[in-house]
Amino acid sequence: MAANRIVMLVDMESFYAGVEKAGNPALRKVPLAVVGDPEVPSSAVLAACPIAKRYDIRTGERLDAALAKCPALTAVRPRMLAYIEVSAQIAGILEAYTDLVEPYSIDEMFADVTGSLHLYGGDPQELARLIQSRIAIETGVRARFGIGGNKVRAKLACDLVAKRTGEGIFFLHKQEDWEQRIWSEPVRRMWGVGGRMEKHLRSLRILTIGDLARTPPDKLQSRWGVNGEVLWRIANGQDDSPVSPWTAREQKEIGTTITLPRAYRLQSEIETVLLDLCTEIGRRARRMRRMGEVVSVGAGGEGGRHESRGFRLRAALPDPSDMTSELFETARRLFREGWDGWPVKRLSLSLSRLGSSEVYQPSLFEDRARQRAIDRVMDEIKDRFGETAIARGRSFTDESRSKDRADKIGGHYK
Amino acid sequence: MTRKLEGNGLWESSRMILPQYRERIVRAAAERDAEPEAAVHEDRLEEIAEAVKRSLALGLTVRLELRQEEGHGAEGIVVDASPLQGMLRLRQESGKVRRIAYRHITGASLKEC
Repeated sequence: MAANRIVMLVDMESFYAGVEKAGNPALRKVPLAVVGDPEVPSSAVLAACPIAKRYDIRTGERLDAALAKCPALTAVRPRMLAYIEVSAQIAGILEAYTDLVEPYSIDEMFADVTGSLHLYGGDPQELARLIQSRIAIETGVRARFGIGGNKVRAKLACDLVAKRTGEGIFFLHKQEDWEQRIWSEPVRRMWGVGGRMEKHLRSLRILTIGDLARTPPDKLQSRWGVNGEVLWRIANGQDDSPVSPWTAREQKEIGTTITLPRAYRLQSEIETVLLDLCTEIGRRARRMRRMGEVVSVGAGGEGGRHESRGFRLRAALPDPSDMTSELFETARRLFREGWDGWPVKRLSLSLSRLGSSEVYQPSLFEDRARQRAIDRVMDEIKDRFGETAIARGRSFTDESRSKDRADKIGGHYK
Repeated sequence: MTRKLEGNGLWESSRMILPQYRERIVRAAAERDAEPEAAVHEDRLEEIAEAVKRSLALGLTVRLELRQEEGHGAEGIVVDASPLQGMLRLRQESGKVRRIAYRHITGASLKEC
């Protein structure tokens, strides 16, 4: 069975830009880039549409540099929530065809169709076409499909071949295909090889993926250890990893990190931010119906003479919890334990050893029911009116980052 | 380090995922896979209550059948039960005490000593 797996890697073309174009027909024919903040010239391009790419605009490039290449470029702000929703929608479409769907990133997903392919006629390319048109009709996004006998083969088939074909679908089923289509490519184009690795490989006269595949693995291993072996396996299309869907059980922790706009020195201002983080983590835990048993707090910053300082401490909660006030109580105690007055630039908080939140331990001494009610009401208000609709009084101070954070996901606008 | 070459390590070690994205996908999966609450017959409920009561009172080992998401079953001695709050505590053989909600229990039987 394992010998004949059929795995697809589904890649969404210029995903963020694609979602923007799907949502606004006026943008469809213009060169479009999604940019961190279109008002700021140094802001980075997060995604460029295929038209913009014709002007050689690249992801990661500065907005002013992109505008120099293409003055007609339309720059829009990201809407991370919309992208997350569309991506989840696409995962849902794939799940109609197999239960084995694993997102690799927000715009790439693996689907193992080995067990269900026969239901759709048995031809992987036909199935890919079907799914591709469904994704296009339902979301407006163009998907490309690399198909192979395992995840590495699917990924390389997509990156190196499917993305360049008109149809955007490529099925790499024979070893000859692998050798012809993949081995001839420069090693830099292989997933897992960056600029620095390319230089190292060139010094060993390894220029193509085929060169890499034919290099004795022990030679690579002695130089780069496990990573050397990983590269050799990728070049040879060897990969036995399963397509494993995410489950709540698998998630080990809920965590977040914040970089502060300046170094915070006062205990009260740092603890305000800590409360913001507890509010966020508590809300995320409640949404997932999980409670955690362990809180970890980390802080980083500068000591004297620009030495970096930092700590990371963890402690068990008295009882499993998803309540903001309880997380804060433990987090604050940990912070006070680890911190001795140096300016703080970064704070992190996580809740781990997660379990179902359907059973909770009432306490004789504290009024947990009341605190839960407060959290519940705040959640409901936020669900209905937005994340900034209600906040604790403490978060209305200048040092609080909750307002700014509420507008963003992963540092980009929602 | 060698974890990269095991299981799904190659892919897990290389990806960057926004936590909000992961949570959205996990939530969708949980909603989709949610087992329709199988109704438990009244007689069965009584059986469960009886077995729990006897385990608690007499320290007998009870085997509880649980809904799928809770991992099918658990075995141990009931050390605390509160039908009003809908939960009980089960001391498992390992000594670990596990809290279980009544609504997750689909069956119970006492182990013969």
